[in-house]
Order: sequence, then structure tokens, then C-alpha cells
Amino acid sequence: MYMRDIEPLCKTDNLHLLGQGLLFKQATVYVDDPAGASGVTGNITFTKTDSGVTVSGTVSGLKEGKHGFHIHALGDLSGGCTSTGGHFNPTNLTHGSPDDKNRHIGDLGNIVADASGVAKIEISDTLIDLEGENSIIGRGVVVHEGEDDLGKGGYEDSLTTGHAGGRLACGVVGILA
Amino acid sequence: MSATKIEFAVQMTCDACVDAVKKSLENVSGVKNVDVDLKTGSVVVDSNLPIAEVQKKLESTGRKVVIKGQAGSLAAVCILEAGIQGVKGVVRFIQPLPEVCVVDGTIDGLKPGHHQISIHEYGDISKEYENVGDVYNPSSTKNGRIYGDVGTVMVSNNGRIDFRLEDEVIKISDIIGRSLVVTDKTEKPSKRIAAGIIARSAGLFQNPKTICACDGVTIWDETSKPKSTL
Repeated sequence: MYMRDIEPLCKTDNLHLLGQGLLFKQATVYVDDPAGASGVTGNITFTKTDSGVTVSGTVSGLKEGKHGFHIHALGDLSGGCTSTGGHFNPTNLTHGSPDDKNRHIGDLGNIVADASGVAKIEISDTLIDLEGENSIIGRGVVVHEGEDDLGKGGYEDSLTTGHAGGRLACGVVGILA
Repeated sequence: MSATKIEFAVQMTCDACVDAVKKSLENVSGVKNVDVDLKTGSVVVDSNLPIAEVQKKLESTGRKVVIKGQAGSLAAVCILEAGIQGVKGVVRFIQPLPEVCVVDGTIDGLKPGHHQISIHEYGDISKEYENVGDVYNPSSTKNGRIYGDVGTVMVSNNGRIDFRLEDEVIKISDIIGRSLVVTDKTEKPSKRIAAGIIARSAGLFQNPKTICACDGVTIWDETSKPKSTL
């Protein structure tokens, strides 16, 4: 231990350097409600492919129907799902569908729960990554209460959040291999 | 010990609140500076105290307090969420200088005695500690220590540990997405008891979202549900 006065020097965010040269191939997230209220849980795996990243897994405990499914900028669960910030949006665009050009990197659209409340996820995305500027490692995955209108619902928050409502479950994307 | 700046969101409605908040940190040893902005509900505290201690002082004014961001812009946080029931904690990593990482944490529900804190290779806590891999050790470190071997803390009789360490090996960009594991060394053989994934968190003034201190739900507040909808 030593004494000294310091001011923060690292003004630039060089976290995009994370994992460069390390080539992470797989990441994983376990989602639940840190507040213990919603009962929604799930396991999701992200696998790097030649054309992008495959997202696969299941989320259970949902109401039947569509639920917004997004990568949020932060993985901070210290304030429940709230402290994960907004959608991961390094390119500073408006909210959209995963197929839109104008979308947040974190916009993965909706997952669909069947009558038993289980959503099977099988998404292939070309924008999210496990390294570099679009890396989702250490960020939050959030499952929302309502349907993501993909920016087209005309609500005040359609172009920011997809009007998808509250956060039912969240988790941090961790390195798998 | 390095001083670090932490931004808190504090419920404040009037100038008297500002005075009360300032007063709560007046003449506290370790606090270098306090900036309060009534309009944004932001309180920036420059200190070398454990974050939990500063937060407790702010909360002593009867207001809700939520951590919003920390300096420098490289910051990470780990919520210990997997493991033995009753053990809970939050550990923050702040990189004020390229060669110094401040590790600041509060963990509750521990047995009195020595506990090891270490960073493991993988951030998979779906089966608690089964898949976290070995202690992270990518290359030789300058003092020969195992990279992920953060240190040992001594827990007192109340089962809580507040700690603040300066680490010259850890770089936040290396450890994001990996896991933090707490091992009880009072057991023979020693036993892993809690784990969490090291996540990105907001740097100072970087949290674009307005955090209302009134609905910030902390891990110690398990029954209330966050109302925020972003």
C-alpha cells in the first residue's frame, strides 16, 4: 500500500479492446429476477459462427406471447435489472427490429412463450459479437414484460425501448470458452 | 490509498436536503470532496473510504441512495448471486490509473475467519461454481503472483466484510465476463461459497439513464420490484 493523490486519467473507454486476440467462441447467460418477484428464469448460450453469433436457449415462467429480448449496455445488477442501463447502442441509432439497418446492436427482437410459458430461443444475428466494439461480454441480457414493437408502435418510447414494458429477468453475459 | 470519485443518485427535493447531504460527509476522515447537484439528484464523492461506508453516511440522512457511476471510465461490478443461501455481496472494480485497480466490496452472511477472493476463467454460474474453471492466470505477472488471486480477507464476528484493496496486476479489460469466487478458508479443505460474473458498469457521468433513487432496488432489498421500464 502507498499514499498518493491521483486524478482519473483513463478518459477513453478502451473496453472495446476486451478480448482482442483472445477469440472467445462461446458465452453464456443465466437470467432471473434479482428482486425474486417475476419467477422468470432461463439459460442462453451465444456461439460465434462464420456469419455472426447464434443465440440459443430457453426462458421459462413467462406469460404466453411475445416478450422483448435485448442486450443492455451494462451488466450491473446492483440495482436489480434497472442498473443494466439502456439497450446496447454503440452506433447511436434508434430502436428497431433485428432485421432493420437502423437498430441498436442490442436489439434482438422478441422471444415467444408457448402456452406453458416456455420460450425456445434460436436466433442468428450478424451484428452482436463476442469480441471487439460490438462485444456483448459483460453486458446485460434483459427479458421484458411486454412485446417489443420493433420501433413501429408509434408510442413515445417505441424508438428507444420498443415499448416493451418492465424487466422480468436479467443476467450478465459471461465467458464460456 | 488512492481516492476515487463515485457518483450517487440521492433523493433530494430542496436546498435543505443539499445541506443535510453535505453535512453527512462533513469532517469525515477519508472524504476529500463532495459535489451536490440538486437538479439532477447527483452527489459526487471523492474519497478513499469503502463505497458502502460512504453510501451508509449518505443514507443516514434518511434518503434513498443508489450508486450511479464511478471514476475512471473503466469500471466493473460483480454481484455475488450464486452459492450458499444467505451469502450476498457486491464487489466493484475501478481503474483510476492504468496500473492500479481498486477492488472495493461488501459481503454479508460469511462465517468469521479468513476468506479467499479470486477471479476465475469463466463467467458461467448456471451450475454455481462447477463451470467457473481455474483461477485466471493467463501469463506470468510482475510479482509472480497468480493473476486471479485477489487476496484474503478476515471476516469479523458479524459476518460482514467491507474491504478496499489496491491491485497492480488486475486490468478491468482482462476480467470482464469472468467470475469472482469467494472461498471459505476456515473449512478444511477450503470450500467455495459464493460466485458472480464480473460485469461492465457505468463510469463517472457515463450512465445515460436517469436513475431515480426512489425506485433503485438493491440486492439487500429483495422483496421490492424495480418499476423502471427502459
